[in-house]
Amino acid sequence: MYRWFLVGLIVSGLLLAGAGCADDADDADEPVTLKLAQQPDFETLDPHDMEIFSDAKVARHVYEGLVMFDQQGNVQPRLAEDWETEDAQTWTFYLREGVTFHDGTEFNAEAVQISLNRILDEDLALRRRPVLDFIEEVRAVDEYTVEIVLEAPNAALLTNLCHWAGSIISPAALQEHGADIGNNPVGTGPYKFEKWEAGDRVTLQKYDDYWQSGVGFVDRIEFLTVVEDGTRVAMLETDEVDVIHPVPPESIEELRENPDTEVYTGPYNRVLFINLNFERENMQDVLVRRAIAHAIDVDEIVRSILFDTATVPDSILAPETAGYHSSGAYEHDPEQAQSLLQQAGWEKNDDGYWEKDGEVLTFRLVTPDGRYPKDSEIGLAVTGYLEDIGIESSLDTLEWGSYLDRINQEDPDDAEYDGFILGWGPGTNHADFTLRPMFATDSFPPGWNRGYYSNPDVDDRLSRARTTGDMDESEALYAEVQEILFDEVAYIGLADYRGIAAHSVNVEGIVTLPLEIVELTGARMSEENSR
Amino acid sequence: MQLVKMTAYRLTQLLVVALAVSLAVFLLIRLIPGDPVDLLAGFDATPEQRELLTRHWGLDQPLHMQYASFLGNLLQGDMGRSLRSGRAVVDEVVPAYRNTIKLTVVSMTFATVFGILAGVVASTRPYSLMDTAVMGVAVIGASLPVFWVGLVAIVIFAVNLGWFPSAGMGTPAHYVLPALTLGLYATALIARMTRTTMIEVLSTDYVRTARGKGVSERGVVFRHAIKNAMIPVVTVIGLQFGYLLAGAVLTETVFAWPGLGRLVVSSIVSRDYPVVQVTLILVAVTYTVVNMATDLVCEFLDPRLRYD
Repeated sequence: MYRWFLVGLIVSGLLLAGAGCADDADDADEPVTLKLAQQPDFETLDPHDMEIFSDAKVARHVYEGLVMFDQQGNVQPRLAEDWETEDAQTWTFYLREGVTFHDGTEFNAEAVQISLNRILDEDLALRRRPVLDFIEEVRAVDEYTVEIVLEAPNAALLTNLCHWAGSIISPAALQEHGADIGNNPVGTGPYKFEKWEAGDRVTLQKYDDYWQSGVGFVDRIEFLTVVEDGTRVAMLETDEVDVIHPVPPESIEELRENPDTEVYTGPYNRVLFINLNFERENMQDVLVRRAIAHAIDVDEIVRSILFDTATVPDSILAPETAGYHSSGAYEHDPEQAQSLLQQAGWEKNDDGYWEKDGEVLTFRLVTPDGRYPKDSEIGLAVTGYLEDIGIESSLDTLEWGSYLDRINQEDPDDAEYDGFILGWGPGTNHADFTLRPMFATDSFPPGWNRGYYSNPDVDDRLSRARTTGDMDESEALYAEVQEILFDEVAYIGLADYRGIAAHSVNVEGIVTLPLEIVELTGARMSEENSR
Repeated sequence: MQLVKMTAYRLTQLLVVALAVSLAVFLLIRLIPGDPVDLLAGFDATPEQRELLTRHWGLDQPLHMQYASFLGNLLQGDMGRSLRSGRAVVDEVVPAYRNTIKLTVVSMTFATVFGILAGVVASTRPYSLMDTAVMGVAVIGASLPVFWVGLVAIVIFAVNLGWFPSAGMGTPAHYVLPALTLGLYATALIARMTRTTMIEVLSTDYVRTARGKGVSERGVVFRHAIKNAMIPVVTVIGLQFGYLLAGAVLTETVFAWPGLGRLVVSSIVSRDYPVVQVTLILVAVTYTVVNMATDLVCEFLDPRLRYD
């Protein structure tokens, strides 16, 4: 009987080992394929409807807009060679000639008109419509000239057109696929869509008739979805994939030391912060808010929890974002924090907590879990720091959907939190995309001003900055707003994330954009190890 | 005649289960805090845009209307579209279902073969060294968390030894680690169940009679004992199959397997009502069918169980 058992074991062992070797066969003539493991899973490849950066990553290779961000997040001409405007309300774009979509359709003013009108179409209820909904009309003046008229002057048009919402889709493909364009993306980009295996991977192929030379070196790109952090790292170590993004902070040291892998650090515009709830009585006192800011050791958070994959933020905006202004950070100073509380009329009770009129000073923090790198761990650290100086703190760690539900309270009395942790990375890389939804009075829930911050000085500056055609003036206004928000402690900065990717030493030329997008159009693979 | 009646009975049963599950899932997913429009709309959504999305997806309709239209469409073969991707639900669910079935079948085959073998081996000499060793391994196998086993398997067999790919699907080799990980618990369970029932059967009178009339030990075990010992084992296998089908979430996550478990989790996370509903109904129906198949096998093994 044992003999049978052993024979079974050996036979199946051999079978398994045989299967393991089966995929080692290599064909030297095979096209070069670059594999990237990423998460979360893809939702749609329709650029007018996509919300998450996984999708945007693919769109960045397949689609192009009139203008697009470069690596630093600056506006650069792409399908438009040039543009002009007198009053920031009527804009004329001069299009590039000789560009074709992947299906052979010619790119021209009509294509631009059809694409932009599509995203503006209310009946389609496309998710990215708000990015461009201030456009009143799109006119094709001639074959290669487009005029865009806005409802009111708006300097943010260019950055918003750089958003993937501004992608130009092949009109022929739109006609053919209709609502299924998200399964069959056809753009003008350096890579064309090959297939999407749901839950597994999206495969792109180099587009041979791309209008620009010097872009697109590998023949195919595969974007694999690998949700588990440890597995992604393992796949890079075993050379099953060439690039991973994002990289779990705790694996960075290991990947740096590994001679076969390299860690890439680039710009990224997401800032993690605590948004304070101005409707809560205790939070209405600026001294208390300042005390809380001084109690938290952001330096230590960035170093010990994020392993230096972030820096201490000195504004609500990242330096990469248009309109950024360095306004400062509150130093970790528990003494100062406690004397501020004393100044505000609080006294320590026998339990070591601050108390006023028989009420203990409490702080209830809400954080999402896993939405941003180490968000809930950072939340735990924050409540720890507050406990240290005598503020009774509690943390509600919620899954993303429940978190959104909890902090979306139209009646401020239902908002049972003193602050919530949020990571904001403006998709248009423009100050307006952070400041207006977060801090303008007319953005109260269901808008994103869920700290109920209301300041006429801020409101006024934000609307002036948006509508003035003068770039210097709008820059100055945004700077003032950031100063006010910092002085008033409307938020407490926790981390300014860096863009981190890791790749095999055989790959070079990968870059990350400030928008959490890895761009592989300039990536090359060295000969000996290419698959 | 009997067959027709039984088939009709079972189909009715299946229909009732599917209907009950569809209603339960429909209501439960709506009970979880979290509005799909919040998750859909993104950070820059204006109230107008939110209203647009709500209307577009019919989420402004009263609940019974939503359920009626979901059920009506489903009966006509239209599973609707995913809120998250706008893709047809059938395009999301069917490939994932196929992948999960593949993994589950491979993994159950492994679990059945090794579980029964190990159980039989252990039972032939109860309390021997071999028995203790096999059952010890089985207890460990049943106790280890799948998630941990998966990650350790990747580190040992993919990263250090390089025998198998660590994740994804494609070649047969891609099945090895996830199938073993997923099947570990079932193997252990089947082994223990086989051992218990085999020991019981081997001590019955008819086995003693068989031995007495000079049947070889191999003949006793494989011709006489095993068939009777298999009934509870088959039941366990059936249950485990259903369990693996629905419970492969962790394994699929660790091994980046594009299956149903991951689809369910990600669509619950994004409150993608149509996908969650269809997926869970499908799981429930499969589970029911597997149980019916299990019953049929048991009836074949033991005619006394037949409804006559």
